[in-house]
Amino acid sequence: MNIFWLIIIGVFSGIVAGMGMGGGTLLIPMLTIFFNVEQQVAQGANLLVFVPLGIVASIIYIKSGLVNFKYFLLVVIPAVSVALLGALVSTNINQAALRFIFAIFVLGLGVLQLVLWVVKKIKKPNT
Amino acid sequence: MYLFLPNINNFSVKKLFYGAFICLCGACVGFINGFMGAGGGILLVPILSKICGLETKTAHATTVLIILPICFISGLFYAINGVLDIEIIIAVGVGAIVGGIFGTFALKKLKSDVIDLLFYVIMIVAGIRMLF
Repeated sequence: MNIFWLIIIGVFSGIVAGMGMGGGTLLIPMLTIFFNVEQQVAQGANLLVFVPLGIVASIIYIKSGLVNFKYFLLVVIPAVSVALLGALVSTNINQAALRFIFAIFVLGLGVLQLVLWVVKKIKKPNT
Repeated sequence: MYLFLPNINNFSVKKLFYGAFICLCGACVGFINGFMGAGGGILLVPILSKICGLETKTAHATTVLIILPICFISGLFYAINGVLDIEIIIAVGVGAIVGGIFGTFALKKLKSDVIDLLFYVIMIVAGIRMLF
């Protein structure tokens, strides 16, 4: 039963990711809220779950010529090196603290995007 | 002596600062994605489209390519440090592949302002729920 629901939330976050909206920001809260998964375990799961999806998507994107390699190289090198630092901090931090910071991050992103959405609606009501 | 500096005429301080700024943005995105295990893509798409001026589709595609090695390497780091639950990864992973294909090919056309709004509201509710 547990496995069944895990697959269901996987499908749900996959759909969100496929539509280009960020599946991980939903997968992690679902894992911690509904399954009482530890914050770090949920984050690690989200990172590794994305890998097979990302490989398939990358191949499709490269073949269709949509990738800008100049910006890819400019961003990927600093991003990957500093990502390890982020992972180092997060695997050594108290899980309640990490959960709190993550909650603030998701909440902040949600509010920010909601505000931008409303502003866009006011400026261009018919789009 | 300028032979070894062929691009000297194209060089400008503005370009250098721009490049450095984009690198800095990349470093921030990398740190956040490694630290929180998510959210890098949500931040990187607007950076690439609004600041770098890439088209939305190109920004999305480039973002996926950048996020992939970040997720792989930081995910491995989590796994090496024992923060790993194989059952969750396999079950969620199988679901995510099915959902990902479905979302990309069948539901993308349904993407609308209402779905965006719904997504933001879910994020806010999830954030509040996690605080308590």
